[in-house]
Amino acid sequence: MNIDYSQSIPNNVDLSGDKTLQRALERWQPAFLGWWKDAGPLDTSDLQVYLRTAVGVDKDGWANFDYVRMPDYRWGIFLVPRDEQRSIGFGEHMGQPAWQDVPGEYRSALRRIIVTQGDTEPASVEQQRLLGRTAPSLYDMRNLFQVNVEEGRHLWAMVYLLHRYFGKDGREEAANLLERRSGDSNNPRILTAFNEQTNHWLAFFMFAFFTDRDGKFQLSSLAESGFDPLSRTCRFMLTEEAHHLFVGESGVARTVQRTCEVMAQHGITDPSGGREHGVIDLNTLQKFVNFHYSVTLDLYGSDVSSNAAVYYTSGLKGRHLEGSQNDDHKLNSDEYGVFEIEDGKIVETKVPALTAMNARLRDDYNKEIRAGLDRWNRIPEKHGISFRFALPHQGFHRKIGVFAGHFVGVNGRMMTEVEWNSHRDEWLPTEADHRFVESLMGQVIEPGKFANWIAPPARGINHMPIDFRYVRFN
Amino acid sequence: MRKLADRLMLVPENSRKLLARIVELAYQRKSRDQEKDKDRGRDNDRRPNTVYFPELHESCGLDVEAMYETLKPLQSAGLIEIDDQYPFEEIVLVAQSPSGENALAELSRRCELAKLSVWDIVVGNEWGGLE
Repeated sequence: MNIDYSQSIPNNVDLSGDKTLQRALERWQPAFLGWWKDAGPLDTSDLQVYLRTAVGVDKDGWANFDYVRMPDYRWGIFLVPRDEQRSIGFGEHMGQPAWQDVPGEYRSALRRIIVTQGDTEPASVEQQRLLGRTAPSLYDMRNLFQVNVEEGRHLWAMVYLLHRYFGKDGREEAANLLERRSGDSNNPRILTAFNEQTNHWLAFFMFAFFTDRDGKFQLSSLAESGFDPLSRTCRFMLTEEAHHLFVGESGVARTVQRTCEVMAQHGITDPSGGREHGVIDLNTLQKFVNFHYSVTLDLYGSDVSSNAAVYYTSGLKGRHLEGSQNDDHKLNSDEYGVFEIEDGKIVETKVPALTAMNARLRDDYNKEIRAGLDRWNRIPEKHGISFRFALPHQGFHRKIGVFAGHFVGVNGRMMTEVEWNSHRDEWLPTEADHRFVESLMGQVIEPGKFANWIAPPARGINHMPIDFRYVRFN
Repeated sequence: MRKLADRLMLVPENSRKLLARIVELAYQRKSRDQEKDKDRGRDNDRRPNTVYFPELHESCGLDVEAMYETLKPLQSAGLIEIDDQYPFEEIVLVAQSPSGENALAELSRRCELAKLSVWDIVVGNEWGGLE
């Protein structure tokens, strides 16, 4: 099912067949471009970037690569093809045909879900807007911009749903999505993690590995939705998100690779060593792991949530890989283990599974994160360095859920606030750590060259060599 | 080809889809603008029978975890190997045909000659057109 690029808004949803909707989105389009100009990647409107653009949604290949000025990027609306036989796979409506329109009783909940998801998309672009100025290579600069334009496209995806299915309320919410700003004290983005600054490339790579992955799991659970247009939208978004996760994982891996190379070269065995050679030491990298992992865990919400139970029972938001779960997909009698604090101790207890949807999704996320860290750990191992990355306990540095207000060390030990604060600088990046990492950041734009703190990739993009001019300047 | 067909029968459909994509990338790299991309140095330094994770991620939309999971059955079936040099791993197509040629390279070549899609053979199990 190919995308119609002849229209002002490329799409595969027959937008021209609904003139009212088409006009509404064409009125939103200049507002989006205004947002991109004001809050998108800074000073990049004249750059020509070797970007991938979706041209189809089917197996024969869905992307085209070529140079484009980012303001000219053809943002559009793409859904995977409809399966006429699709039925709702879970909850009290299980087995019924998937909804092609918003059921009235779920209108408010669905709107909230879509707005919350949609708000994260421009937020990350805003957080990352200055990073082009310190890109460690043209290859990385291109990857950053690819991520940015696709997050812009994900915003389009959610705005389409709001305009198409939620009438006046939807149009207002779509307008508001362009008004909020990451880090703005008066009109911030909805979720806390999306108001944090991404002030250097290590933070970007960590964000793309940890926080974008929460995005993946949210999209995965929404891909199960009984509301079919939302499901189809999210399924296509997941194919684009896959590359973002790769950018994050490979970015951190290349950083670790470079650090380990330098350590091996100079006989450094102390994981706090290496800074004098212009690389980020392993201990500091671990602190960034601790930070980004912990703030991302908060995005999943409370472990026990009646809202999440309602979303599941109503058929709005399923579990990750719902179809593969070996149960009745209603969970009325099932239980799930979650953490609680009892008498100052962390204990595991069983709660009704329906109320533990957030906890379950977080656990699915944790499995993938651990697998990623295991891959990163192959790098120091192959260099003969004994250091290994580890995830802090789930209760560490948490502001939402059962651990909020408690002080849990990286190893899961409960402690007083005073004791926790005495360890804070060992566990989380300090201002000095941020300043050091920032001091390494300098823009490298000679084709094939890479900043000293990061190893080159093995291969380029779309079979192009590493020294290809991925970004052209005037 | 019969032995290859038998081996593929043991592999789940998702992994066969990924294999079809890998074969296309390794042997049938389609460029929408061949001449322009050739001038840009495309494919200058490819190793034979090899596909790279970045291009595979960008071409099929599988993320890192799903990619490794979907590749496992292909490794178990002896169709591919992953060069263990994370984070610079490469996927090498290794199945050999009785003639000594790389079996999947041979499949690709015969598909192109017969104007058949690798996808239909590897995923759809439609080997009749090759006989």
